[in-house]
Formats: sequence, structure tokens, C-alpha cells
Amino acid sequence: MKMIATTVGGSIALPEAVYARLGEDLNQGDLNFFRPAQRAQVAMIAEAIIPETDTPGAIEAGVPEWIEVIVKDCFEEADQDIIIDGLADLARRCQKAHGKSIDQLSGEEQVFFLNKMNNETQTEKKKRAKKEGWQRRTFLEQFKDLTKLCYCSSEVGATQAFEYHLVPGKWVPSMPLKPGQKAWAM
Amino acid sequence: MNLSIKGKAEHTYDAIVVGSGISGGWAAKELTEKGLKTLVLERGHDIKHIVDYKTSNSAPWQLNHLNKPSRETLKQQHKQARTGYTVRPDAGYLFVDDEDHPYEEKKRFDWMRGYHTGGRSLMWGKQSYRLSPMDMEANAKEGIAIPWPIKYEELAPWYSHVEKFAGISGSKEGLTQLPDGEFQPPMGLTPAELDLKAAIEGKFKGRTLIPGRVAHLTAPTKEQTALGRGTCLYRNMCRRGCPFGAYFSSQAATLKAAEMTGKMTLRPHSIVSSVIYDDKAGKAIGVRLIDEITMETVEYYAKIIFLNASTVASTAILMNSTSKRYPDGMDESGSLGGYLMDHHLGVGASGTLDTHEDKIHFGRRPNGFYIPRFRNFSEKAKGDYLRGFGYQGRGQRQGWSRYIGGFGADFKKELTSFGPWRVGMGGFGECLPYDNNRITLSKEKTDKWGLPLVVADAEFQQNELNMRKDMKNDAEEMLEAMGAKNVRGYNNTPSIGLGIHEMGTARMGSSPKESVLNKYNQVWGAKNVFCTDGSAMVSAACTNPSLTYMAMTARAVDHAVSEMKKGNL
Repeated sequence: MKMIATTVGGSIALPEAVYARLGEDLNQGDLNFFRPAQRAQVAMIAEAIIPETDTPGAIEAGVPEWIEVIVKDCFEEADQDIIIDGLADLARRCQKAHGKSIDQLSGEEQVFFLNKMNNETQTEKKKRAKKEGWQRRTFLEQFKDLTKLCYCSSEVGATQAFEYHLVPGKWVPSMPLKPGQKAWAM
Repeated sequence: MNLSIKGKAEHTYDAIVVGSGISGGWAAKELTEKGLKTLVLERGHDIKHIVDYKTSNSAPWQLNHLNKPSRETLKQQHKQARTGYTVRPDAGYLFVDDEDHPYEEKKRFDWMRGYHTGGRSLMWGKQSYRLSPMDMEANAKEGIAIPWPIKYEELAPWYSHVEKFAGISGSKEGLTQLPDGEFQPPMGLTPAELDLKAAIEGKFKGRTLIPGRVAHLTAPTKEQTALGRGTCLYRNMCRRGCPFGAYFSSQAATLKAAEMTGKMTLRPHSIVSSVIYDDKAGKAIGVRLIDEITMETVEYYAKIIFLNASTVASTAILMNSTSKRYPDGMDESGSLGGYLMDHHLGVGASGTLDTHEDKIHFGRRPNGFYIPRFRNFSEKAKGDYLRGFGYQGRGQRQGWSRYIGGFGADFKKELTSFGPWRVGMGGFGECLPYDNNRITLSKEKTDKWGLPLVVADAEFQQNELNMRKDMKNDAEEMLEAMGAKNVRGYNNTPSIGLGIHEMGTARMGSSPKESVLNKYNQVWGAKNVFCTDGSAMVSAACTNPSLTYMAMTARAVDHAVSEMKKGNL
């Protein structure tokens, strides 16, 4: 994926930064699943889940684009609905709890909010399961796993946040773990 | 069809091999190396070694949908998708399109197929074990189905023959239930695996844990290097095709050797419909095929015919080969189509360790450990069942796909660090050969080439289901013995085919009254027709079967050529 230098800084980058990098590996025509406001929200939530630290965050790794393509082409309709409804639900809960949207929260507040929403939706899911039996995974469960998959499989994530070896060349069954050693990308 | 004499000569070879997968590749190599002009018929398209492995060097971010199957793929390959791993973008193109290649299921049958040069030798698991004397004597001792017509000792030199050429990495262990072979150096065990080995050997007399035996080069021979094969570079992206030829595939090894003799002709897009049997001569004269693309029917002729289309597919060809002598297909015993087997899996346990936090491993080993069978061998079964099972597993540090709670910077920090050691093992259980586990040909439905659809009517039965309790409990017990934490067993509902080890349906035997093939894999009554793929299996054992198909094939070719030279074929 072509990289364009973006300053993400302490707050969440605007989705314009996302669009700026489109068109190289991904066909922009494929990115027609979310409405613009939803697309912005996807980027903000992904970055809240995997923020920029000493290594790039979800937005710089191109996670939002991957999420859109995968939800569009791979998700069953019922799970697509969970994603769409979940975005609106998250915005409502965030407004109710903080009176702000998620991108306006500090990093700490974002984590607090996501944990709270996760606990609440898990409890709600368990309640529904008691009545109705098997339940699909919640919005946050699915969205977090997707963010994780896309980040760890992305070029930026795999090569900067992890140590990436396409051809290891040897098998070493045991060696010392050095301080600061990044985990293997695959 | 009318062929001029010249046309007929152009369609005549010394030998025809139907199929280019694991066993067909071996037939091609052995026949051509013995000087026979050989035609290899592959039903699917051609895949050339290295150049046609489209995803073999792709990084994760270069795979469609980051290697998640799309809804479209899941629709086109709805049966191939049942394993959960076969239709991902990295190698899904090597599995068939179910819309084009349908079959009928009276009971669920997960038939994973690869229709292209090399067949499933490109995507196989590469675990390579010999059957043991115990495995080959079990039917006779227990009065199950029919006895194997050959003893282990007759197959042993052929195992050596194929192991030396294929290249099997493994360790000599001196185990009766898992005979040693000709090995290249084993792939080392991790600290977690060595702990498990010590715990098992200390607490359960007769049990052991060994490095998996796998068809990868770890110290290539001159013969292997001359074919262009190199040592394993531990990418563990094997299923996409290996650009180094490090694991055994038809492309990298047998077909390459056959090609180098100058005696092989490979014809892709050749769907063999039947063997042409000459009632007067009492033998086959050739095969009839349908060109996959042009839909034309074409005939080829040869003195020797090897059926290596794969289990079920070879049987379907035999069933479809009717003549005066064989009005219902090439069998007079009633056993053709019966005794379908597979290994039952989806049962085992896993746990995590809180030790060795200061150690990691490097490289991606395309292999793990193996725990050879102990039930009904060194220890009696706890439940009511015959035979036994082995385990394949790994003890490695968990990667990013593990569950990690939370969000934000702390979550990310944990995600990008090594996870705890996890040890997991899955059982592979032997399935008995049952008369009523059958495949037949549909009388109503045909595929787009007009060939009758295969109908599967088979399931695992009480013996297998009873065995699974031990398969789960023993795995949990061994993990607990090593001090693993969070030990969790599982026992999913098994279905036939999911092991991708289909076996039987044209079994060998000592009499035409009870079997389709004789002890040299020759069809009774058509001694120039050999079937040496998994169809020939008389029992399943609990170990991965491909190495046995290789050995059976080399042995059968040796017999075929020596009989031909004596004028007996």
C-alpha cells in the first residue's frame, strides 16, 4: 500500500487521511458500503481500538478501508446489519455517557467507554440468549476482531508493529526472548 | 469412433496413468523410468511447478480480503468450504468449484477435491507414516471385513524406496506400532513439546511423543537437488505451492522425474469416463475420455492402465466401465463402492503454560509433534471399541489471533507481544471398513460432461463414536499431566471426508469373490488394469495414508512391468 506521510498526533485523524491513501491497492469503486459519516466513524473506532503509539495506529495501517471491503464482500447480511446498527448504537451510547462523539474523547476516555459498552452489550446478549438461544456476536466483538485482523495483516502493522519474515529460512525451536522483541507477524 | 491406423498409433502408448496426484505421479515416474512411453491423463487444468503458484510469494496484505473467503466464494465452493480452511484466497483456487463438480449426499460427505495437475499433492498435509504390521493384521485377527492380502514385510522395501525419493523428515524411534523409515533430519521440538513428551513418558508407560514425520526436505540428497528441489525454508505457506520444491508434490518430484525421462506425455482437461474392456482378450485395451473443454470423446490405448484418479473417483470410473463381462462395472464381488473410510477427527484438547516465558521460537515449522497410538496396543481401550488413534499437535507461543481483552494502547501492547505457550493436540481415529458405507453412481443425474454423479451414503458408526471419548479424555489427561492450565477438551460431530483421507471402495483382497483388486492392485479379470490410490485400502489404520499409496504404486508398477516383460499382461 502506498504510504503518504500523515501526522496523526494525539487525536484521531480525520477520515480525509483515509481517503488520501486510496486507489493504489484497493479499488475505490469497491468502497461503497458505508455512508461518509459511517466511514468516518469506522476509522475513529478502529483507531480507538488500535491507536498510534510508538508504532502506527489503525488508520495509518489502512484498517478502515480493509474493514469496509471485508464487511461488504465477506460478511453475511445479518452481520452487516449488526455493523451498521452497531455504529449508530455506539454513537448514541457515547453521546449519552459523555455528551460527545468518540473522536472527541481522550485516549483514556475512549478505552473507558469501549470497555463499558462492551460490558453492557455482553450482558444484553446473555439476556437475549436466555430467551432466544444462540446469538450472533455483538458489534464490538466483531468490530474489534476485524480491526485486529486488518491491522496485523496490513503491511504497516505486520512490518512495523510486528517482526515480519516472509522467508524465515530456518526453524529454531527455542531461543531466548530478548527485551523489546516484537512478536512474529506470522 | 473411427480412427485411421495412423490415428490409432498416435493414440497408443505403453502405459496410461489416470490422474496426476500423489499416486498418479508415482505411477508416471516408475513407468517412465522403466522405459515405458506413458500418457498421464489429468482431468483438470495444468499447473506448472512454481510459475503457476499464483499466491506462493504473497504477503498477507496482498491476499484478497486479507485471506478471508468472500460470500461469493462460499457460494461457489459451498462443500469445499466445510473444512473451514480450504477456500481462503491463499489456496482456495486449488479446490474445485462445487457448482461445476456436484455430487449427491444421502448422508453428509465432505469431498475435498483438487482438479489440476498434481491434484491434492499440492495441498496435502504432508504427514507421512508407514502402516504397521499391527494395522495390516487387524482385520484378520478381529474378523472385520477381509484381511489385507499383503503383509507389512512385503510393503516395507517399497516404503523405503518411496521415502528415499520423496524425502521424509523424521526421527528413528524403534516403535512397533509406527515403523521407522528412511528419514532426513527431524524438525526439532519446542520447549513446551519437550515438557509434554517428558510428562507423557514419565506418567504413561508405553506412550511417547515424537516430531511429526513430514514430506519435507531437511537435508536434500543429490537426486533431489538434481530435480531442482531445495531444503525447507520454514515459511509454512505450503498449501499455495512451494517455490523451492521443498515438500513432496507431483510437480516438484515425481512428474519432474517422469518428464526428465522424455517418455511422459501429460494431457490435461482429460476426464476419463471408462476403461475399454475387450471381452475376447479378457483385458483392457485403453480408456475413453471426455475433453473437459471441447466435450469430445477421445480414446487412448495402452498395454497397462493405472487408475490413480483418487479414492471414489477411480471407483466411479470402474463402475462406469461396463462390458459383456462386467455389465455393472468392473467388479464381480459386490464390494465395489463399499467400505468407504476416512479418519475421524475434530476431537482433542488444548491448554496454556505459565512456563518458558523467556523463550520463543523462530521460523514457521510446517509440522508439529505426533503421539503414536497406544489404545488397544500398549493400553486397553477404556470404552468399547476396536483399534485406536494417534494425535497431531503443536506447542508454540500464541500469536495475535489469540483472544485479548480490552481496547486501546494496552490492548495493542499485548497484541504485539508474544502470547503464552499453548499446547494443542487433535486426534486422528481409525474408522472400520463397513459394507454399508457406500458410494454409488446416480441413475438420474449427470454432470456437465454427461457423467453420472457420485452418490455418497456413509457415516461414522458406533466404534468410531465410542473411541472419541478416549480421544478427548486422554488428550486432556496428558495436558494436565504436564501441568498445562485452562485445559479444554473438545469433541465435535465428525463427518466422513473432513479428514480428506478418503479410503476404500475398491479394496484389495485374495479372492475375486470378496474384492475388486488382487494383491498387486490388479482388477480381478482385467489384470492389466491397476488401481493404486486410496480406493485400494482394506483398512484405514489411524495414520495419514498418502505414503502407503506411494509405496503401493511403486510396488504395483514393478509387478506390472515385470509381468509385461514375461508376456503375462
